[in-house]
Amino acid sequence: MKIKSKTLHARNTALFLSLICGAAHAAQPGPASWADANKNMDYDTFMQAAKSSFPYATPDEYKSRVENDFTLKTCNATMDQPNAAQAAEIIKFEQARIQYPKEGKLAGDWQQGEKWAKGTTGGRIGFADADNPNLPSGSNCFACHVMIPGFPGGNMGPSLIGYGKRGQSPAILKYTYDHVYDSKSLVPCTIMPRYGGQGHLLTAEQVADIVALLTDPQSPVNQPEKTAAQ
Amino acid sequence: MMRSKTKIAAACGFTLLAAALPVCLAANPAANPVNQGNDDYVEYQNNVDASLADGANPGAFTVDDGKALFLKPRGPKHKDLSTCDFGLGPGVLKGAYAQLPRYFKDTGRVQGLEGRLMTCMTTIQGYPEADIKSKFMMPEYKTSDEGDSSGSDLATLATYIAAQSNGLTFDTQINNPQMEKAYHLGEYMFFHRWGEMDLNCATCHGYNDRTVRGVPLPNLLDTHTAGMVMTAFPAYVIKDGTMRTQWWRNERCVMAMRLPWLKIDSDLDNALTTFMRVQASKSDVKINIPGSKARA
Ligand code: HEC
Ligand code: HEC
Repeated sequence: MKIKSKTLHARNTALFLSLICGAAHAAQPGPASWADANKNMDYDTFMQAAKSSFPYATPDEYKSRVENDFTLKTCNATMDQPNAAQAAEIIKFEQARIQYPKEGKLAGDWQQGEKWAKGTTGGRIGFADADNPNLPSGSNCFACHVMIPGFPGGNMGPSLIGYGKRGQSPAILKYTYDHVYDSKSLVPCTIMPRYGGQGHLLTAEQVADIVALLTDPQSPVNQPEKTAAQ
Repeated sequence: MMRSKTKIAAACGFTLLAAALPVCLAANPAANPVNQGNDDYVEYQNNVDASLADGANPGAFTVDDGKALFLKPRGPKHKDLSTCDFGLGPGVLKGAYAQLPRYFKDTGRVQGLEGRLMTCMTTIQGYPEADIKSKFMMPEYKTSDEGDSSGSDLATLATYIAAQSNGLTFDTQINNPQMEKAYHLGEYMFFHRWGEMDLNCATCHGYNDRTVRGVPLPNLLDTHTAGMVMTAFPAYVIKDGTMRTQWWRNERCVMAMRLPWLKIDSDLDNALTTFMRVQASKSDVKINIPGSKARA
């Protein structure tokens, strides 16, 4: 409230100043936007700066983490708004990446799944607080989703509480598996990370465990608030 | 607003037909974030500040420690740092931090406070660069788990210099081609999706009312919020029990995106800081070092 009026005041002042001494202020950049960012800088120049800024990465790490693959290149170039043809291409590219568990079971063990979903370690590299690559990774779904009644979650993704209401049909299991393994095979340019496979956090079996967490009627995701809270 | 977006997104996922695609894409948080206050973060951060007993920030001691370190003859040349040029001339500390990052002719680079300190330790005190990295500046910071709550020389010195701009607003100027490039690199990086998590900075810091695991995130495109955030670094991090610098904050989030280790004083480190300082420069929030932060 106090803040808002202050901001408003600052904005008016800035407007007034830019009216009377527009030239002097012209050098200062206006409000930042993705469109301006893409207009004023190009990928190759940026990647040169990246090369010298990440000197400790191995070639493999550089390739899988720093360089954009086809999908991210398209998302970045279109500011997450691919046209229909680009979207279809992303979906094709991503669907081809998905691998299913060896036994073919798309829903595994929800208790394991809860461990992976709550876990926050995995994939950090560097000189401090790096993750042990020999331990199984977690996926920190709770960063973005509320999932278990009473357990805190973020709001960048939709609530997944009661997800099991959709049932456990093969179609639902496959949809859920695909969304966790490779969200961009269903929603091109979604902010949700792609979790499955080489260069990503989870194995196929872990993804199946998370599918069970979401769909199994016994899982805490699908318990009423009261039971879960006690 | 968030709620309705969420509903559409959920509906989209559920239909999963190609026909639903346009709706999905429209529901995706997209290109045009707005700047209009970030009250939940402001409230959250005010509570963090208030949680320090009697408003006493333990980081205040670091200002004195930093001064002593700054004035102590050290290194192969046995010199103190009192002739270090932070942009306003050799030895001028007052207000220098408020204008960083800036372009330095002697190094031919845009640099921030940490980088400039490293430059002076090399040129004035004669430390070999390898020494600075491993012993004094600690590009590898330690965590509280490692039993190191003493912080690094880098953070201690940076805290002292930064505090000499207390009471001023940031005034980072884009007034030459090098600064322009740094700004555009920073702006590009802010929106560029990469890393193992497919994220960009804007995912978490480009919108109002977003939370991670229930914790409100600062919208750094909101200039008042950016002002609040940037004027608090170097900050006393309660979880670590020590001072952390702006580079450290940049590296933490880069690490969360599962990018490789961000080199201190690298082009992208300085570009990010430049970008965020320019946002902060548009606010009237005053530099107030040491700030306080709840966690790493
Ligand atoms: C960075 C944020 C983020 C993270 C982390 C994240 N998600 Fe998501 N998730 C989203 C967003 C945004 C959507 C909505 C758009 C979409 O469908 O991709 C979504 C959608 C979903 C959906 C489809 C919802 C529906 O109603 O059909 C499922 C299932 C899902 N997420 C599960 C998970 C699981 C399980 C994890 C962890 C392994 C996870 N998410 C991690 C952001 C995230
Ligand atoms: C997955 C989410 C996420 C992404 C992506 C992310 N951050 Fe952060 N950021 C956080 C969280 C969580 C915090 C800590 C908030 C707190 O203090 O508890 C934070 C804190 C910060 C702060 C300090 C805020 C304060 O309260 O003083 C800055 C500055 C910052 N991030 C910059 C960046 C930059 C630059 C990038 C991109 C390189 C980035 N972040 C990417 C989640 C993220």
